[in-house]
Amino acid sequence: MPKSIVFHSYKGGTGKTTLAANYAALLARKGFRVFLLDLDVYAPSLQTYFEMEPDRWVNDFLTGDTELNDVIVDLTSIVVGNNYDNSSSTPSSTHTSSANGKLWLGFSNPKKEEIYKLEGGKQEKVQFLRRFIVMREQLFSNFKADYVIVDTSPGIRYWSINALAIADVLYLTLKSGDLDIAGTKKMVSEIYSSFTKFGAKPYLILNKVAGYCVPHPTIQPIEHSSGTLSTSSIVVQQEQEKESSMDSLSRETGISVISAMPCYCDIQFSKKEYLTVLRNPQHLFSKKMEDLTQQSQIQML
Amino acid sequence: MEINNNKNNYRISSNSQIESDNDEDLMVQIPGIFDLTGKNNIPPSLFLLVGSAGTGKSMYCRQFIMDGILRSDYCIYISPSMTEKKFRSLFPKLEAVVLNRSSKFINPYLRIDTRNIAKDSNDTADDQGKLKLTLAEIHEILVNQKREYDQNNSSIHGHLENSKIKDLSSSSSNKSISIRVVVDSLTQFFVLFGESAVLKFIGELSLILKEFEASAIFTLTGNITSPNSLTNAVSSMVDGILEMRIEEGKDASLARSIRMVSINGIHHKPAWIQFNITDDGSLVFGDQSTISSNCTMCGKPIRGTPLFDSEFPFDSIMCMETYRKLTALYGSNISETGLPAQVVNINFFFIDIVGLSNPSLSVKKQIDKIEILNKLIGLCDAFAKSKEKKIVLPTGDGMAIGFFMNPESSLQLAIQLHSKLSIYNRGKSDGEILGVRIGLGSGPVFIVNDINGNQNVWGPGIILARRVMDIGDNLHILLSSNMAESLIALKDEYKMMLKPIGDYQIKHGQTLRIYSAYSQEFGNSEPPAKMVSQH
Repeated sequence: MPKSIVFHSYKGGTGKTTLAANYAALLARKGFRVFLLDLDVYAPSLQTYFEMEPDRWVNDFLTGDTELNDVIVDLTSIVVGNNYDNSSSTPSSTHTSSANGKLWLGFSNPKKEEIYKLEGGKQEKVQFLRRFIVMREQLFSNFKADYVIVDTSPGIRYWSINALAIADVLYLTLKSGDLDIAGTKKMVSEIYSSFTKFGAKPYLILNKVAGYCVPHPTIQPIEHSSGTLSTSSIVVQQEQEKESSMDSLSRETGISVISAMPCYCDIQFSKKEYLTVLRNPQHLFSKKMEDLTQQSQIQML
Repeated sequence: MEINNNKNNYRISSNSQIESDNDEDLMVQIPGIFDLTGKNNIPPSLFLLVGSAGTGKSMYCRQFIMDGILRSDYCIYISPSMTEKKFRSLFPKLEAVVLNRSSKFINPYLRIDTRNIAKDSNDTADDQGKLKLTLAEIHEILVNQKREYDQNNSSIHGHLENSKIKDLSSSSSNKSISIRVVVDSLTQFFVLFGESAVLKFIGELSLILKEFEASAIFTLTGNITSPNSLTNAVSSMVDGILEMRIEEGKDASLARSIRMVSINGIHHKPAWIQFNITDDGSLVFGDQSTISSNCTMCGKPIRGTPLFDSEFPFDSIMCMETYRKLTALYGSNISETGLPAQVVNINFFFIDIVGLSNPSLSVKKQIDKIEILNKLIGLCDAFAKSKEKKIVLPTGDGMAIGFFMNPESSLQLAIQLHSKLSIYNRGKSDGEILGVRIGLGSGPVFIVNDINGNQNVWGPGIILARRVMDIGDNLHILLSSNMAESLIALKDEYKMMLKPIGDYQIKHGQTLRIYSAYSQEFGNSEPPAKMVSQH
């Protein structure tokens, strides 16, 4: 069954865009028809992430200046490119092979006048919102999307609310800092409850969990004189703290933590964004993303 | 009264008042707009509608005018070959008063040049004079309409000075009145008046219409794919071109279709859209047998049976659930997104203090009177002990109280307040007497939140009650006919106390039938001075 999945957060910098992009790429690699939309209209970044300068933007569709066909950009080649090692890919149960997978993107225009335009007056707002609803419908009916993945603006803003309203699944990403957690709790009670009571499924993704820096000496297994391997006590302690933190977060928000993504320095501090799941499928982050897509598919059944 | 929710921007219409939804910019719809452009509305534009004879151009114009009247736009129909009687026969379901109020028919060929615009005696000069006269008449109508609209707006805003609902009403203060004009058909104009005169007429008329941000349709019999010089000339003066055609269908029936050939500044894909003319003359677009209304959420025409949530139609579960989600989140602020909010029917009690703005009355005394009125209302059982949901909206020199359930509550409150006032005013000097006038009316309103987050209402229901109150003098308890008649039907005792006192014409020729509630103990048995002077 087609699904729209929205990545959202209370604050910025929680990794929504990285997670959404990698998640979309991974689903395409698994053989699904995936559309990744940049609805972070106030601070779009997917065009930089994918180094694209499209002729037409999502904004143009929303304002009624063009059709959807002109807006979406086929980037399937980067998913099924020759250099890609898909040995670790888990084939989809419903899709025959990764060769069938497709990835399209809809980019949001970063020009300030285009951003202002989407704010619009009441008359324009409802027209844009209606076009957005039509966009989702066309992606599923005309373009036969399996998944529509939406990267939103953080916080409670007009376009992030619109994106959340069309979601079947809500991924609320947060870091483990108290500011993020407090804001997320507030948002869950004030915003998400309105959507979940009409069937949307919300999940928390605890991202950038500290203590897993790569390389980090304590993350390596310790080889004992007997030849056996064990994990350092620091790592064990971190794992325990993570589990405890996930449990408490779930209890306090009433929403399951579907994944806890460690903070990887090579991703966090990379000068250039890239799709880790494609470039380095063996990376721990890729494994975590793989787990997340599998978990998601189970949850969506 | 009807809720006209098959239009995309959801206006509540009534015999007395058709209110817009606070659109910030003037936008209009033409018949089949969504099918033609993929948009719900467009800026005011002038269109040339081209097609062979019998394709349905006049019926399209009729629908354009009909839609306009239902949206309270002002409509002008110009035809050199039609009579006023024929024009009226196009709208058999519209009451004459509504048609008179919202439209004007002009036949330029029948104009009589009483102002000697054309002084030459030959036919050509006389015909040119008729066209000039027509232009002058149109200009005068538009100026008057705009003036009336502005006055009406300022009157409403003036009354709500210092009130909580002022904030809501002010958002619409900069709007313009919507004007729709049909010129049907240019072909007949060319025959009757000659090409050069008509081209000049169209040029000048276009400028006038653009000045007033009017929308217009000029019809012309012809073919846009092989245009002649006249078609080219007219095309250069309009913003867009619509084309109609008629073909024989598979079952030997006639299949009509229309397409938007071009329109300035609007991206669209020109495509032929089928339409049908129903028995009552209405146009139905797309798969004509199955379209019922437009989806509240996505705005698309609904083919097949719509889904309903409250009174709102949806074309899919996804759209309905998205609307529900947004409503759950925004609550009564949903209207801020441009989507329609839930409408409720409320019974209003509208009151103000008579003579409060008298310059001889000190501000202190004015404030005292307002506070006393508030206290007296607070002492009335119909207000204090009523458990039904109500909303109180201070208006500076009075207040509006909306009762959500019982139509009797507002009348009972008026009667109880008069009882308390008669006690309070005993022995008072003229300057100290607290005089009030009360208007009662019921009708639909939108529930909205004001800028402070307080619940508020806005819509024809509250406007009607205010207008009824405005007619009255001291001690009058006046009721709108809908409220009075529903109370009379409810209990016999109301038959005795509620008396019809006649019709009162307010702005735009709109007539209100007024009832007065009075007995020995309450009310004012004299007719209101305004009604006396009008009659």
